[in-house]
Amino acid sequence: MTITQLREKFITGDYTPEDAVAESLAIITEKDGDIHAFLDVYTDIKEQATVATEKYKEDGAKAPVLLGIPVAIKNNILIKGKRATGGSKILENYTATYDATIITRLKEAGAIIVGATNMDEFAMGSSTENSAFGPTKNPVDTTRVPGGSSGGSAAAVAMGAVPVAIGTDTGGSIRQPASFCGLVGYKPTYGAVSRSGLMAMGSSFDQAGPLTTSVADAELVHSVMAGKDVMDATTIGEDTYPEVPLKELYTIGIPRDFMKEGVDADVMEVFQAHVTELEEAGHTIVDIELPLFEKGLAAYYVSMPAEVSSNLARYDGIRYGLSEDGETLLDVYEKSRGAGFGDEVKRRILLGTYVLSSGYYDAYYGKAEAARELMREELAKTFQTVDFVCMPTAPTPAFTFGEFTEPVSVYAQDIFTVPVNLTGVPAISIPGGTVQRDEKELPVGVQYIAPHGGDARLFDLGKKMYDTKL
Amino acid sequence: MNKDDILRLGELSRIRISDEEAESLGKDIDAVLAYVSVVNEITAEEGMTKKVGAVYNVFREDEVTVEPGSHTAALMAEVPHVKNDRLMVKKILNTD
Repeated sequence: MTITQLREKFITGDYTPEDAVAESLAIITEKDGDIHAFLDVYTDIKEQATVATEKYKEDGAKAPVLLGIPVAIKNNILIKGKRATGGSKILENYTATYDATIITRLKEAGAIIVGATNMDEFAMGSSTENSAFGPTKNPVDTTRVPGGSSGGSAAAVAMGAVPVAIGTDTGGSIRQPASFCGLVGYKPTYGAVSRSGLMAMGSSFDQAGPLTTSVADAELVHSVMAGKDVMDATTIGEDTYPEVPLKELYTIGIPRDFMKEGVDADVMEVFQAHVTELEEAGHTIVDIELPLFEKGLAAYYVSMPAEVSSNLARYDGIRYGLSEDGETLLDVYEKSRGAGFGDEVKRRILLGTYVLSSGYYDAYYGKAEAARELMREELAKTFQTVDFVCMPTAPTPAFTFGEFTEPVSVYAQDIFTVPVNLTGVPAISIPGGTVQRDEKELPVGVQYIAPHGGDARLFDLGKKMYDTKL
Repeated sequence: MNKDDILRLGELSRIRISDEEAESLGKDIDAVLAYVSVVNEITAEEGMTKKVGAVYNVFREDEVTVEPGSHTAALMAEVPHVKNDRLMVKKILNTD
C-alpha cells in the first residue's frame, strides 16, 4: 500500500496505525531473517501506534500528514537514543545523542520509525556487500544484490515492510537501489534537505531522500523533510535558484552518445520504450550532447574520496566508537582505524589522502573541482533548451553477489547517477520496465534529471508517467 | 604504487595497514588513479580553476545555543576511556 492509501484508511478507520505497525513488524519477522534489510528493529513502537490510532479517531483528516506511517531509516542517519552504525565496525556500539533534522521533522509529522536499515559501510558501495554486518538480499531475486549504498532501505520497501524508507545519495545511492528493486528513488537538489545528523561522506554531494512505491509518496515525504535549517548552512531557500515552472508538456533531452557503450542491450530497450511512451504522451524528445558527463565519473572518484578522507578523520577511537589499545595516542588512532574500517573505506581514505597531498593536489583535486564547474555550465546550457535530461538509472539490472570485485568495474555502475551529484541538480528514478535474467523478471529504472530547484517538476512528470499506471 | 608508498599513505591517513593489505591496496589504487587521470582531459584546454558555486558555506555568530551541560552525560557515555569525567588519552610522545 502507498502512504496515500494508508492515510485514507487511517482516516476512515478501516485500517489503523496499530494494524500497520503490527503488519510491518510481522513482515520483518517473516522475511528479514533471509533478506537482512534491517540492522535494528524497534519493537517498542506499539504504544506510538496506539496513540496515533486514537488521534485519528479525534482529528481525522486534520492529523499530521505522516501520522502512523511506518518508516525505515538508513543507519547513517542519527536517531536519538538508537544505535547508529553507518554500516561500520568502528561504530558498532555507538548510540546517537541527538536527532538528525530530518528525523525531527519526520517525528513531528507523526511517522513511526520501525527500524534502521543496512548499508554499505559509510555509504561507500553500490551493492550493500560492503556492510560490516553482512549483505542485504534483493527481495525481487534473493540471489542478487539490492543495489547500494541504501540497499537495506530499498529492500525494506520492496519486501513490503514499510511504504517508505529514507536513504542518502552521494553518487546514486538512492536511485540505483530503487532501480534494482523496482521502486521510486529521489535525490533532491543539493541543499534542499538538511544534512545535520547525517554521517558525512562527501559533504558537497550528500543528500537524503525517500524510496517509495509511488512518486506522490516521494513528494509527500520530501515536503516533510525539506527546508532551510540553521544547523546546515548549505540548505537553500525558495529564492536560491530561479523558479522552475511546471508545464503541461515538456521537452526532454536524451544524451544518446553517453549511452552508446556499456549499457545492457535489453536495458536500452526498456529505456527506449519509455522514451516512446513520453512521446506518445505528447512530450517532445530531442537529442542532446553532454560530452563532459562521460568523464564525470573520473571527477567524482577524485573529489568524493578527497571529502571522504577529511570527513572520516573524526573516527579516531577517542571520543566515541571502537578504540583499540596502543602505546601512544598515534598508535590508538592507527590501530582503531585499521581495525574499524573495511577495505573499501580504507581504499577511499588513502586515495583521498593521495589526491589532496601537496604534490598532487593541483593535478587531481584541483582539476576534478574545475571539471565539476565545467559540467555545471554544460548542464545549465542544456537546460536552456530542454526541461529534463532522461537516461537509464543504471547500465544493468541487479547483479549477483560477488559479480564485481575490481573497484573500477563496480564504480562504472554509477556512470549515469554521479553527474547529478557532481552538479547538485535533482533527479528521480522511476520503474521503467523489466528485463529477464535466469528466467526472472528484474526491474530497470528510468532517471529524470531537472535543473537546480526543479524538484516539483520532477514530481510532476514522474506522477504523470508512473503514478497513473498504479 | 609500491608497498612503502601505501604504508606512508596509511601513516598520513592514521590507518595501520598490514603488509598483506598494502599489496592489494596498492594494486587497487593504481587502477583507480589510472582511471581518474581522465580529469586532466576535461580541464587541460579550458584552463579552469575551482570557482565558488551558488551554494557556499555561510557563518553565524559563535554563540551558545543550548543549555550548557545538557548534552554532557550522553556524550561522555560514548567515550571509550573516561576518568573522573575526563576523556583519557595515551601519551603523545614515546620517550622509551
